Order: sequence, then C-alpha cells, then structure tokens
Amino acid sequence: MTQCECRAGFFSLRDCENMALAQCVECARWICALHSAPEAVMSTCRDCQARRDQGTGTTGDRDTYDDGWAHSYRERYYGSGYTPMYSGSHHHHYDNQDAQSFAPRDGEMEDGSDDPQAGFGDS
Amino acid sequence: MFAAFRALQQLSNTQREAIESKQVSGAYPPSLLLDNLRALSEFDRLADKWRRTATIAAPILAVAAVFTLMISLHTTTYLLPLPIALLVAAVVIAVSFFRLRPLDISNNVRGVALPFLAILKQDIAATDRVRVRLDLALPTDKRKQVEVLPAYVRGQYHKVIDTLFADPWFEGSARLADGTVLRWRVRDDVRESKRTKRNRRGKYKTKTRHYKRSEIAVVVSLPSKRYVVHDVAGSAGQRVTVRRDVKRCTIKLQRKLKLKSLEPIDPRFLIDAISAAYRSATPVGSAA
Repeated sequence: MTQCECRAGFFSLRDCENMALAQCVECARWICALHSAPEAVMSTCRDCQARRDQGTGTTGDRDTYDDGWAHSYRERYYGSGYTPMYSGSHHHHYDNQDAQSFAPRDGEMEDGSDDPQAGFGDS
Repeated sequence: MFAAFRALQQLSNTQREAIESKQVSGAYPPSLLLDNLRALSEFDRLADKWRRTATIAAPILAVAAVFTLMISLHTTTYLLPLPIALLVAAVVIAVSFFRLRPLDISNNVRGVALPFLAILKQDIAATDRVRVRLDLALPTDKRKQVEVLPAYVRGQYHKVIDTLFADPWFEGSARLADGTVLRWRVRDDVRESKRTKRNRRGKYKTKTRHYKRSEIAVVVSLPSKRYVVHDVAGSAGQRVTVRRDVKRCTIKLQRKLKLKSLEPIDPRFLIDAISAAYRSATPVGSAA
C-alpha cells in the first residue's frame, strides 16, 4: 500500500498519514479517502478540486464549512500571499512553477525545436 | 417553518442543551465539535429565515382575516371559513415565531466560529482535542448588559438612550500537529443606541443603532526545537508582543476592530493573526 501524497494542514503543512486508495487523475498523486474530492466522479484530489473551484469562482459549501470548503479556502489564502512551511518528505508533487519548465517559450515548438522547417539533419 | 422545526427535532440532546443554555464549553475532538456547530448553525439559519418570513406573513394574514371577515359579514356567510382559515394561519405563524425566538443564537457562530474552527481542524491531529468556550447568546442579551447610560439629547432626537454590552463570546486553545500551542479570544463591546424623535405629524419614531468594537487576541507558542522566530511583522493596527524562553517562543497578537453593526467580523482577522506569527518563523536548520 502507498501512503497518501497530499499535504495536510493550513498554517504549516505536513504529510498525510493515511494510506492511499486511488490516484488523482489530474496530478497523479496517490490520495486517501480524506483527500479525494467527494463530489468528483473520477478520482481527483482536494487540491486539484480546489484549484478548479478557484478557476470557476466557486468556494465549496459555505453552509457546512466542510473539508472541501477548507481546502478551497486554503487554495485562495495561499494565492493571496501566504506560503506555509512544509515539514514532510513528499517533494515529488509538481506545482505550477515546476510545470513552467515544460511550457514552450516564444518561437519554440512543442517538441523543443526552434525551427519548424528544420529536419533531423539540421544542426 | 417545517424545515426549521425539522432541524430542531434532528438536534441531539447535547445540541439541544447547548442551544437552550447558550453555551458550548469543553474539550472536543475537532470533528465532533464541528459536527455539533454545523447542526446548530443549520437550525439557526433556517429559524432566522422563517422568523423573517413570519414577521411579514403574520400581520398580513391577520389584516386579510379582518378584511375578509368584514366582506363576508356584509355579503354572504358562505365566505366565513376564509377569514377563519386566515386567522388560524396567522396564529400558527405567530406561535411558531415566539417558539423559535428564545432559541435564536448569535450569528457569530456561523459567521466566525464555524469557519475558523474548520480551518483550524486542518492543523490539529485527529486524536487531539480543541478546548473552546463559546457563548451562543445574542450580543445584546440581557445577561451581557453592563450599563444603561442616562438619556441625552442629540440633534433632532429628543431622547437617546445608550446601553452597553460586554460579550466575551469566543475563546479556546489547541495543540497543533507541529507542536505549536494556540490560544485565542474574541471579545465584543457593543453600544446599542435607541434614538427617539417626533416627526412633523406628531408621531414618535424610535431607531436603534448598534456600534461594535471587537478585540481579537491570539497567542501562538512555537516550539523552539522546531522553529526559529525572527522579527514579527504584525499588520496595521495590530499590537505584537514576543516572549522567548528555552522551550518556546510565544507571540501575542492583538487587534481592535470597529463596526457600525452587529454583523460578525471576518474570520480572516483571526486566521491572519495566526499566519502573521508563522510568517515570522523558519524551520530549525533552514536558512533564514
């Protein structure tokens, strides 16, 4: 069994201690029942769900203030400038900053080449 | 109406006791405390909604009952069941209003305590407990009255009576998963100003205004073996004191807010105070 790769906490983050049950279809992290978004049809972690909520402008269930709302609030709060400390060991979750390395630069093709007409022989 | 009474019936004995005594006090697992507060908040939300409807519906139905009674007496008695039905409906609504009114709880519960504790739960281990003392009574409850000031004249108002209320409604403590000990306290001081004037037609009109001063105090005690605390930068209007000893660095942040209504404060003020303490710390062994 794999351990859940999500980070628990709000003011300071730590590794989740639960065992994973599924893999998030968006970020590919292993997630436990507590960190999977209950309203998602496919397995999605609460962080990805919160990011999606932020994109669509929804805020989770404000009437119940459940864990889904707390994750959504956490995502927005971190977006406003707070960077929590992390005391765990799961460092292989790629954030947006990591993903930027793979985004094509201006004038660059998806495969990394810079000349669309160039063949394999061109240097 | 049915939704509010159904929510009341669904409350457990503990929740009913809390709503009747207007107190939640003790050490609870965070999930249990949140479940209890969610149930109380949901009941209060439905009861508030119903009471707002009832204050409009009951007088309208009563007037309609009198009006249709007059018509039926002057035309045909076959119409008589209509005013009776309207009167019965008005009475039922009025009775439900007066039954729910004593069970009204402060909006601070669902506006501040519930979201704050839902956030705090994320940082508390499931096996740990959070200690709270939560006063559910309204900020202008008789028991919270401190003083009634002598009446005075102000502009067009020939009689102004100010009543002062002290409401230390929320305090608690918790040990967070990283070893930090957190304590918090929210105290509201309310001034209720009842202003009476006489209009041009000779009628007396009274307006009630509320002014609130909220004092938020947060004490964050960070373990020295885990965190190195640097200068604490509080936000504008925040008073910060730092006390260091061998085991812990204790940061106290206080802030006063002024509001011109009884609306709950934004729970973000509490969250910001705690995060201000964390912002000043770095993990032991990392570069500052």
